[in-house]
Amino acid sequence: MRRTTTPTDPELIASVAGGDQDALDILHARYYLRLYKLAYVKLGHAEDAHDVASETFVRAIQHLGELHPLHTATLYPWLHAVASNLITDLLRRRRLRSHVSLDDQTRAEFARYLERIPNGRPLPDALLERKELQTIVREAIAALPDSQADAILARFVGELSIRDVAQQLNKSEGAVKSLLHRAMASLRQSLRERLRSAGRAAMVRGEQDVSGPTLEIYR
Amino acid sequence: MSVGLLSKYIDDLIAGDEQDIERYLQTLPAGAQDLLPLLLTARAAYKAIQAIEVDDHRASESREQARQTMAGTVGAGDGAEPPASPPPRRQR
Repeated sequence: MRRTTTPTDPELIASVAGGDQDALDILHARYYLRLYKLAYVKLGHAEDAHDVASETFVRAIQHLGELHPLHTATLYPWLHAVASNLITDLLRRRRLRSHVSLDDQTRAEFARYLERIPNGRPLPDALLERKELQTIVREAIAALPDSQADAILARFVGELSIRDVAQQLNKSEGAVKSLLHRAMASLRQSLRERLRSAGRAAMVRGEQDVSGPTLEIYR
Repeated sequence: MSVGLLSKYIDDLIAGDEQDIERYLQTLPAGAQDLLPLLLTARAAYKAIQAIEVDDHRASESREQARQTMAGTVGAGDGAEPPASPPPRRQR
């Protein structure tokens, strides 16, 4: 298949239906990472996330006959739904268990970040790039009520528009915006609680003193 | 109003067009104190998700598995490998 412009998903689906391996590779490159991220946030396990992403592609190929006539503008919502079902099946079999601990300084800095009033300084990207903090955030997203986590993941992982998320979740666009608003409030609360828990655990372990002024906002 | 602003902020994050956070708050001064933590939380969530990295080797394995499935399902054209069973799932 000779291509001079970026092929659309419907074009690629049609080509894959005809056995075009290049078309399949393009679709895989386009969506594998998104599916992996979706699964990784929910499962917190790299190998399981790879399995989900791979199995989603296998199922897409096996259902090409259903996808081809849809002339869907983008394949991702369909893939997202399939991956979500696979994730749900996996989660039924096990519960997440966190092994992450935050040092006192990171905990205090993130606590301040969640509350800070902007004063013209750049936002602290270096803080948000800390691996253990990212893990805590992802675990907090995964622990949200399903509808809230699904909305966040559809927006942030799938990068779907409000309209597409509404279609995906079978809600109005206004309802999706409200759901995301509630999801962010819930996520913030969950993060605050996780930071508090991490502080108590550190005290029990006899680690750094967590009663310093940097944690005043949690008293 | 804050619902719409949060949605706009997320749109900009996804598009890579994020403005200074103060600019979003200036459009809703009365609700800025309530909106700010939600914007910061959204930002942390987005960054945490974006930071997820994929193992290239596993991605290649997945692509090969997809190719084999396609070959076995739709019958590939010239040069395609013969249909094969997908690789076995790893034991945990």
